[in-house]
Amino acid sequence: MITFEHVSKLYEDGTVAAADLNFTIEPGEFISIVGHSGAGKTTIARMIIAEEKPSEGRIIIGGWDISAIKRSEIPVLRRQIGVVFQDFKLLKKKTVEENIAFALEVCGAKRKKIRKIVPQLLRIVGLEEKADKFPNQLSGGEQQRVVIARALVHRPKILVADEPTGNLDTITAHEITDLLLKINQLGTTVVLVTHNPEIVNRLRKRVITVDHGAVSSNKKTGKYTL
Amino acid sequence: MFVGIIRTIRFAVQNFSRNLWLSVITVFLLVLTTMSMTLVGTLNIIGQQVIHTIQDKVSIDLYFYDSVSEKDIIDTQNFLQSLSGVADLVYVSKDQALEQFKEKHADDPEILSSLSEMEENVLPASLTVRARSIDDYPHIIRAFQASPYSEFIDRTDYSDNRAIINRVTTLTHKAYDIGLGVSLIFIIISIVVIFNTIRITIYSHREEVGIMKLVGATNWFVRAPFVLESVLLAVIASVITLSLFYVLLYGSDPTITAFFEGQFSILHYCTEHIWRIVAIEFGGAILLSVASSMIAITRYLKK
Repeated sequence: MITFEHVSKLYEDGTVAAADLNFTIEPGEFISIVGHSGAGKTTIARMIIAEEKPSEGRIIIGGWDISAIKRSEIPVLRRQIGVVFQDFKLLKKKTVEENIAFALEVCGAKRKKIRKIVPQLLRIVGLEEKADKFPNQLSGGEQQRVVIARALVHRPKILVADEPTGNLDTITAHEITDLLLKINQLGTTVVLVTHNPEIVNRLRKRVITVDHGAVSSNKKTGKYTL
Repeated sequence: MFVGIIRTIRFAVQNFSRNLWLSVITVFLLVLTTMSMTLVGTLNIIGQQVIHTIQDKVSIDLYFYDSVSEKDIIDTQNFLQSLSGVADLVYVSKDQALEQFKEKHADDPEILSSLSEMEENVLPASLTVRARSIDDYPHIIRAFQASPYSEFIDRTDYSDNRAIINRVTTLTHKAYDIGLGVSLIFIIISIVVIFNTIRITIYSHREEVGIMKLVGATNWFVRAPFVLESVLLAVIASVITLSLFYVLLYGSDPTITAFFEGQFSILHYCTEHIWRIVAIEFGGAILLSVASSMIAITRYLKK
């Protein structure tokens, strides 16, 4: 469970990115966080992965208060939360397989485990045939699938996807959303940050709308209403 | 743990080889820095040797009145021997002084003939005093002047030597200070060079570092390849510097040995102290390199 308790985030230049946020995300839930550009959606995603610390309030993930997390504890949190970004963040000099394996290698996984997990993830995201390709040999949708596979290497309980369809055409965006739904059905909590109304309306899942850093609506089966 | 170490080494070697030109330039700059420091060290050794040689040549000669008895000369000798700082005393009797004079001017018949015309030996008996260190001379001179034995002395050359002694002492201290200052400047230069190299390396690997942090790699694992890379750079630079240094030593040794009239060979000195030089070279380069890279990566990770 993810709980935001009176969370505010104020930047040094005076920008209010989050204002008294209060909401809970249940385990196994699929939730969309929507809002205009600059509304504070990405700040919420960044606070969940401890990339940002709240100025006020508490963020509790699985009973762990991460608002005052120590630097040495961040890697432990990150292994429990998968992250997908709009700009892919793939290593161009590594193949699809190597990109996924890299996330396991740098966390000290044994070679045997890597050999077992990587093909499984490639199967889940439907890229078994592209294992030896480099990122620039893949389409945008395929690159995003690699990113999703990489985010799943530690079998995370939570997957945070910040604008994962932002750089994709409509059909590919639907494919990626379907993949996220599939992952959610396997038991992973998915937090989707997006400003794409079509995606949100098609999902028919819970929607939190953020406006000027505050929650303007929180509906169980919501639509994009901005 | 073992898997982690192997991967760290692999990433460090990859960092080095995939940014080969950056690595080559860094090694080149490191070689310049370590070479400069090594040369400053060598100049210090040669400088110390020059001072040592001058020190060996500096002495005080005390010339006795002809009327002073043999017993008084022995008492004077015993008194000087008892002073702390006196390393060596050489007594030259009147007869020995005459013999030495004749030997010295054996090729000058004019001087020898004028000497034979004199009825008696005009050369005085003398005591040559050598101190343990150049700093001991002022104390020895003061103690001797305050003693009753100073009355037996017709003349001395310590006022001439005092100027040399003071100059050499000042030179010793100045050479040490300058050497220390120059070394310090080079240490600062190398810290800045390595710091910036690792920063550039981190910058060129910012995507990997970002992904490492994102997927939960520990700070140790993020840091280690960069620190290891800096060690690799330091080791390569040290090997090149030592090789160049020995080539330079071989080339300059005959000139330096000739300057010291065969009394000191820099090549012999460095070969004798080879393990110490290797330890200082590698230890210093690695220490500087690791410290600079740690500062660079810590600053980057704090962002």
